[in-house]
Amino acid sequence: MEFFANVIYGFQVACQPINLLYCFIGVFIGTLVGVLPGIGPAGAISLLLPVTFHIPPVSAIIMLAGIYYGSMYGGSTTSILVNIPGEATSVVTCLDGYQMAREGRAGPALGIAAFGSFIAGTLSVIGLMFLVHPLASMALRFGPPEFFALMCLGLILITYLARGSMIKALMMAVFGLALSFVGMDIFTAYQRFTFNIPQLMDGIGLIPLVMGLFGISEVLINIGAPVTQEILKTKIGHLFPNLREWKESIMPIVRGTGIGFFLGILPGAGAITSPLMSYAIEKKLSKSPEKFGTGAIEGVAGPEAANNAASGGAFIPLLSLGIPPNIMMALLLGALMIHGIFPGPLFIKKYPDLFWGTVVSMYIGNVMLLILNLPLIPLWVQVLKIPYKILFPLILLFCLIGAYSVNNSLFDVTLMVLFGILGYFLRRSGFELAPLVLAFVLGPFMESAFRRSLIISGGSFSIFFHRPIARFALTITLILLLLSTIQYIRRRRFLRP
Amino acid sequence: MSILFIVLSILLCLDSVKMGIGELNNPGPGLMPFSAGILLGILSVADLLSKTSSGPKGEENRFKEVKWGRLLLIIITLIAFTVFLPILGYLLTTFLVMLFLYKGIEPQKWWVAFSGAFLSTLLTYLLFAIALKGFFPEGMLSFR
Repeated sequence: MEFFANVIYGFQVACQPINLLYCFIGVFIGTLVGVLPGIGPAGAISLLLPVTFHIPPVSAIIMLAGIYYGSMYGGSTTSILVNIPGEATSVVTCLDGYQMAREGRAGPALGIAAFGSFIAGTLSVIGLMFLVHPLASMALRFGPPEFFALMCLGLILITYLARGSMIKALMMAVFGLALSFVGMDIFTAYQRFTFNIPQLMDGIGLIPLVMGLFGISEVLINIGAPVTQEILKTKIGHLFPNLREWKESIMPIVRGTGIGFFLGILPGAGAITSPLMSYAIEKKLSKSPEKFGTGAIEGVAGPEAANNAASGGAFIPLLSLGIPPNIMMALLLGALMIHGIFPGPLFIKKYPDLFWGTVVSMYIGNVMLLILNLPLIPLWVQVLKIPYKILFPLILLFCLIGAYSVNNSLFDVTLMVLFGILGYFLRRSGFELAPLVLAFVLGPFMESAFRRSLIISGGSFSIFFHRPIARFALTITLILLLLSTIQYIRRRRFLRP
Repeated sequence: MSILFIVLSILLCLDSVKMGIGELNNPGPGLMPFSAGILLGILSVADLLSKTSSGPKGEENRFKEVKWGRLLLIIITLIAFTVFLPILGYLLTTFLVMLFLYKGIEPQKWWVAFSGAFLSTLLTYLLFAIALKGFFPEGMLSFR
């Protein structure tokens, strides 16, 4: 009964006109950035973080969450019509979605992507509601060693699943940690790496850092190599899939939802890996696997459901443990911290309006997305035609205003420009920025948990191996590190002449 | 890049030692930065070694097609914004910066550049300064 009372309370919060408005703004911007190449959800959330200062925390989180799951919907449109994934999560959708469009079946492809996303998004929100509570209750028994071990595991998983070199990803994670140490030490009030600059006493701000790394560097990357794209000239009609298409799609959607939801909970690239896994499973289970890659609707339905379900699952570790499993959740954690809110085991008890309001808004957001994505497809096609040369000055302007408006500080703007240049060179050199930002956000918590653990144990590292959860997480962390070291040594031996 | 990170790791370690690493049962402010410095150093050396075995070819190609002139212009424009904002104020600085970005980087027709710069300045001012009550310098356009 308590559960239903909470859901009703969530509806009361989410259905307030101001929250409905921010939910709509969030899913609209999400779809927009999903469609637009050259700016992703991480960039969009970074750009809008400063705006969240001026609005209540519930509305802010509802809007930012909307951008995240909204971008999953939008990403499929470009995959199907342009053969360019709007987001990394929609890469697989290109394979069969674009082929369907070439055959004149763009309508059903877009339709099943939207319906599959809707079903998966809704089911994952239900899963989120059921799983967060028990996990948070369990986490109440966690101490600093458990939190430290889980954060280590999260960081290592992110780096292990990095698309490029794991060494580079690990370097970025350590660099992110190092950046988080700038400012006053929480235990001794010692000024670390501040170089007598008063603005650095509170540490490097999250907003200049992420806006520089994701906003400015994205523009610098794209301006060097402009995106060229050709929209397929095809008739988009018959958006509602027929009975046969539904029959072919429904089980892939259900399976994709399960895969996406559980992979989304795990730290790492759940939203990126789950569509790939869903595609592979559907191909394996299909009676005619040769159809895949030539326009099979199952190849669109499963992966699209998986990436949307993953976005719901990703909220679980953030809201129950306070540990963000991916970059988008790290940015949401940053937004919560801006309002002085720290997610963790007591989050639901302390901020029921925020938790239930956000979760229920995700139901409502999914309905809005369905409405936005089906009748408004022609509008998104027009959006696709906006040239990048019109967009990039606007992105830069939003970055400049955003970085300035937080503290009315030109120092923050300068810092953002510096991070933009740094981000550009790092990305060009093959470094991924997600581990850097995740480590930067987690850094203060990790340091605090690590030092507290050592103080509790009187300086003995055994504290991390006496407790079962910490032992389990650290053992997996060490195994992953060992595996990647072996891979590195093997590759060096192979490359040696 | 790896060499820069090696230098950074050395600086990190040296500064951490100055701060005080402390004892294991009473860790000092330098313990975590020192550990990060050591880790960063090891990883950077490993990265450098993996590059020397695969050859420098890949690293050069990453920067081969970069349009340095455009990049430099954008960076200078961003820095100019921070310099001129307190002097010229938000409206004038933003308009000039946007006009330059529309006309100087990827040249547009004058009317497109003008209307783009005007509309983006006006709309962002209405959104951030009026609706969200943000504070922006008025500079020489101040009437107070």
